[in-house]
Amino acid sequence: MTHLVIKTLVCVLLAAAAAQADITTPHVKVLVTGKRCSELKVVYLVINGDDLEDRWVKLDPDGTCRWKADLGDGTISTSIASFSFRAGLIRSGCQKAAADEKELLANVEFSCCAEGTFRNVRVKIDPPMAASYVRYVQPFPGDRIPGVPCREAATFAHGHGAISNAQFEDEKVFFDLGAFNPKRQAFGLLLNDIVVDDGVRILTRDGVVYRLTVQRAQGKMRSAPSLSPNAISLDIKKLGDLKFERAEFQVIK
Amino acid sequence: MALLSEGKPTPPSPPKLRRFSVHAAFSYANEDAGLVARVSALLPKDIKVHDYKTREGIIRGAGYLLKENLEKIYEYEAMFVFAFISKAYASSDYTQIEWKAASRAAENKPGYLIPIHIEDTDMTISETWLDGTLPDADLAGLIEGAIYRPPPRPWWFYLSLEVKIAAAAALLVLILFARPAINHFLPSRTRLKSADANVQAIVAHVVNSGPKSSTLVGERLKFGALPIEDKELRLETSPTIAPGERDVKLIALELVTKCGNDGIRPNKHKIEPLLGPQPITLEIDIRESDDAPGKSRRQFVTFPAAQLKPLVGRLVSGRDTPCD
Repeated sequence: MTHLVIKTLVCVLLAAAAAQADITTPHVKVLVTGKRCSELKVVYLVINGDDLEDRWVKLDPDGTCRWKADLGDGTISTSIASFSFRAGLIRSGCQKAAADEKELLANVEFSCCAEGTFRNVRVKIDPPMAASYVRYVQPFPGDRIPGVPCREAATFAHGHGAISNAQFEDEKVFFDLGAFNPKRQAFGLLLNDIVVDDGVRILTRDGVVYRLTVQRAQGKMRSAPSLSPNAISLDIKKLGDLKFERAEFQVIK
Repeated sequence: MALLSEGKPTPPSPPKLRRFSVHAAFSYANEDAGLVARVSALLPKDIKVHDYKTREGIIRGAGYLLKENLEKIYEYEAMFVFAFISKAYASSDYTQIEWKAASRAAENKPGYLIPIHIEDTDMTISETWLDGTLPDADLAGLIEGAIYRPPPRPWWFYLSLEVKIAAAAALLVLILFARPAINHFLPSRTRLKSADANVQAIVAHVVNSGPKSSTLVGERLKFGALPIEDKELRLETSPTIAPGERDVKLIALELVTKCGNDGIRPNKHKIEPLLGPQPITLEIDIRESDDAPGKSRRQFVTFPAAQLKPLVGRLVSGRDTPCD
């Protein structure tokens, strides 16, 4: 009988904890766990997949392996916001925040640090034109708190920039011409297969068409795999209309 | 004279007559005018008499429609009507108008119409009357006495003081104890009167008109066509609504915008300009005291979206958020 009462009370307490409401707040606290967390010096937060470096939020140290940020007017809602961090060359997987109703702040916990190689990839389009990339990030397997899949993206308005802290084992990075469009169906050019560590990878218009064709054939696009001449013609026409000549991809440290 | 009256009891002064324009309205046939004039002359001067043959009587009716004027005087204006019943009275059209008017008033005012029986007629008169064959002075004395007699007392006037005290005590007990007993059987009835919003909360004005408490079991905000998702609210005060009127504070800690066609949930800066006169609905589920367990009644109230601007500014994210 006593056990039953205790079980009931535990269930009630757990239910109360689970019923915790989400909040909108400018205050974010970040905890990074793992042995190497103390090695992190300058830490940035990527919020809601806004991956342009200028939009990263620099965190203020708040104790050992702890950081905080006051987002001011750029508040976040804990039910829908996602976060990842950047520090040096490394990045984290994406996490949701836990709401602290009492203090009205969002607590985010990351694990440090994922295995694998991290790269900064320099991109340059010739002639210069707007280009964008999208990173489809899977939860990192070693995270203490299971992460969430997320999409991070940015636009290079002038046709050049860097895709920072890419970890190709746990994310797929797609490159496309034109500004980032969240509703775009096609993925674009998958960089995971293109980027090489030694030297610059240059893709001409024909090279891009070839890569897209291969992707379609392998089913790496949203559309069904296809080698149809129509699809290839459309790719050639689009790139021709944009006067695209070539793109350079180079891994930089 | 003053010495002569010493030692004798002072006769009771007649009660002051209320402010009637006529104390005694005489209704009679022309054939009985002599009797009426003699009796009238013997009445005290402070008794105002209506006699259509006197100067005052002529003035009172001059220029009016005769029938309507007679009905007005004999039904509404007199304190008493004295009808001199004779064969001539019974056969006159005008006296019958007066009789009927006085009879109508007498239905609500017992003792209002006093017949003075001069001779037998076919008319049906009350069981009690004054004898018109008495000497003039006696008849005048009876008429004066009738006018000055105290009005009939209500039945409770004759109850003893003890009975009155007992009745008052019983009434008090009834007020003190019967009300809770009655309330035991009456349920709560709760109404959502209005709502408004400030930067901290939504304030609902709730009225419980029943004698028992009701309970608020669910509260939500519905945004209709606005691109904000409906939101369950949280009570900041007790959910119990005691009888009476009170303000209930409802809070939310987050409001989430709806996904746009561009795959983005817009930030607050894009939402705030959309908040105008369109109605926002506050929905509250109320469990009344007589509702079955698990059952509740839903109440709605609307208020303009513009009132929510401060709250939206605080609770909607300041950043665009991807929908996926």
